[in-house]
Amino acid sequence: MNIIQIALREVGRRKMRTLYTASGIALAVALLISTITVGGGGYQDLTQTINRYGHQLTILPATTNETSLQGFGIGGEHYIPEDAIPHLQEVYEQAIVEGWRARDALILIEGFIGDQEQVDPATFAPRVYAETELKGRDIVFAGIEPRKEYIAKFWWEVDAGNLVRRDDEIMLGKILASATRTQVGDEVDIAGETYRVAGILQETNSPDDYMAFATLPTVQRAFNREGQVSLISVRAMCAYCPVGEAELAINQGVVGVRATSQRDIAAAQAAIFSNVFTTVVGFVIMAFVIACMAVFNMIMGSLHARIREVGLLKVLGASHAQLARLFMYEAALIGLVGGLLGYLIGVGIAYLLGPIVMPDVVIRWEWEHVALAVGAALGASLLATLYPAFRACNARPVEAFRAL
Amino acid sequence: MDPIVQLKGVSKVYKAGEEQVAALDDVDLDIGRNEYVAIMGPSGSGKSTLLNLMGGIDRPTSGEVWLADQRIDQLSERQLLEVRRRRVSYVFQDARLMPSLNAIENVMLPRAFSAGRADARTAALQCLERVGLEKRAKHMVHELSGGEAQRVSIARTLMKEPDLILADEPTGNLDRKSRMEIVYLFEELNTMGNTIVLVTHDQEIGERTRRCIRIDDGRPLQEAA
Repeated sequence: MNIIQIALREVGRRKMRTLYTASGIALAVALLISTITVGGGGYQDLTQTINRYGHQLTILPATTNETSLQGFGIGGEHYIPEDAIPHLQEVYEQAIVEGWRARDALILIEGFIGDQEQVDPATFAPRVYAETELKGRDIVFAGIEPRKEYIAKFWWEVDAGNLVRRDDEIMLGKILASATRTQVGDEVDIAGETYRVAGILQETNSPDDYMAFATLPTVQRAFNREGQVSLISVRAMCAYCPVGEAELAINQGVVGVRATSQRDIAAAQAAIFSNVFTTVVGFVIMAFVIACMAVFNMIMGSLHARIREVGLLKVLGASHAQLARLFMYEAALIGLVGGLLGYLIGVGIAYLLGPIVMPDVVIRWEWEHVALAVGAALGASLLATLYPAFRACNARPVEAFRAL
Repeated sequence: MDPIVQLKGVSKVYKAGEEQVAALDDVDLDIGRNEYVAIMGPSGSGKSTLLNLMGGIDRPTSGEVWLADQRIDQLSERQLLEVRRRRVSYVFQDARLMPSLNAIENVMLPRAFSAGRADARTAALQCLERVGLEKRAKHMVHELSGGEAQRVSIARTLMKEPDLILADEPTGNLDRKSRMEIVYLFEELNTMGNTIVLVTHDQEIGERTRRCIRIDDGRPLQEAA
C-alpha cells in the first residue's frame, strides 16, 4: 500500500465527484481544443491558398489595359514576344537563387546533385488570347501549352475527356460548355475552323470557366499572332520560393513587361486571420481560467469535506509532503480524465461545427493537440489543487477533527 | 512506577471569541508503563483534551507533557510527526477507517507513511489475527459491523507497535455485545504489555480497568484503583 494506491482508491470511491470535477476541466479543454482545431484548420487552408497564389507569378505586357477582353482583366491588344521567354526565365531563376542566398538557405531543395547548387526550374506557361465567337456567343479563345499550363494551374482538373493534344482539338471551361450545351466529342466552328472538343475542365471559379482552349500555335496561327503571347503564368516549383525577389527583378530588369503576384494580398489576409484567431484564443483562455476557478471551488469544497480524513492521516503519521502528494496525485488523475475527455469533446465539436463556421476547412486529428489538452488539464487541475491542499495539509490534527 | 506519560502543571485554554474557556486547569498526572487506565467524567470536563495532549496532537497552554523521557509539548511539527508515527496510537469513537480501502489495507495504512512497507501485508494480517478478524481482511468498511470496524481500527493501532494506545470513547457507538468484545480485547492487549489510556462514560468499563481517573471542570477529582 503506497500513496499512489491510496489516491487511486480515493478517486475510484468518489466517482461522481471525480467525474463532476473532471467534466468542469473537460468543458474548458473542449472549448480550447475545438477553437484551436477549427482555427488551425482554417489557418492551414489559408496557408495553402497563400502557397497556391503566393508562388504564382503572372507576367503581362507593361501597357496592358486590364479592363479589356470582356472585363476579365487578362490581357489586351498588347503582347510579349515569345522569344523573350528564355530571358525572362534567366532573370527569374537568378533572382530566386539570390533570394535563397540572401536567406542563408542551402540551395538544394530538389534534384541536388553532387555539390552543385540546384533549384528546380519554374514552369513558364505562356498564353495568347483572342476574342471570337462560339455558337453565337462572344468568348475568349486561349492558346496554351497544355502540359505546362496543367502544371502551372495545378488546381485544374479535367471534368470529361482529356487535355488538348492536337491542333484540331479544343478544351472548354465548365460554364462555357454548359452555356453552349457542348459535350466532349462535339465538333464546333471557331473563326472558320472546325475543332473537336477533346475535354471539359472542372469549374475553377476563375475566368478559365468561360474560355475555350487550343494549343498555342493554333490560336497564334488562327489570329495572326505568331511569336506573340498575351501573358505568362509562372509557377515556382518550391513551397517557399522567394517569388517577391523574382517579381522585383523582372519589373526592374526587363523592359515592356510587368510581373505581379498575389502574395502580398494573401499575406495581409493571413495577418488579419491570425489577429482574429489570436483574439478568439484569448477569449477561450479567459474562459479556461474561469473554468479553472470553478474547479478550484469544487476542489476547495471537496478537501474541506475531507478535513477529518486529513486529521486521521496526520494522526497515523502522514507528513505535510505526503498529504500534498496524495492530493496532487488525485488532482493529476482528475486532470488526466478531464484532459482526455475534453480532447474527445473538443474534436467532436470541431467536426460538428467546423464545417459550419468555415465550410472549406479540413479538421485534422493532431497528436500535439492531445498533448496540449492533457497538459492544460493537468496544469489546471494541479494549480487549482495547490492552495486547498496547502491549507488542508497545514491544519493541525486537533483542528482538523474539530473543523466539521 | 516507571511513567510513560507525565503531565506537570498542564493547563489548556480555548478561545471562543472574546471568551476564554479552560479545558484543563493545572493538571499533574503520571501514567505508568503497562497500565490500563480509564478517564471518566461528564461531557466537556476535559477528558478528550487530556488524551490529545498525551498523544501530541494538541499543545498545552502551559505546563509540560512528557512521553517517557521525551518532553513533547515543545517539539516541532516534524518531531511530533515521528512521535505519532512510532510511539502513540489512537482509537476513535467512530473507528475512522478509510471507506475506500478494505480491512487489511486500513490496517496497513500507517506503514504507507513510514518505513517498513515491505512486510506490511504480513504484519497487518497478524494484527487482524490478534483482533480475530483475519477472515474479514478483504472486506470493505461498509461490509463490517460497528464492532468489527472498531476491531480493525484497534488492529491498525497495533501496526505501529506503539508505547501508548489512546482510546477516545472506543465503545461509545457500539451495542453491548460489541462493546464487551472491545473491552476484552483491550484487557488482552494490556495483559500482553500494551499501555492503554481510554476515555469512557461507561461505568462498567471504568470499573474493569486497573485505574480510573475521574475528571471534572478540567481537574482530576479522585482516583479509584
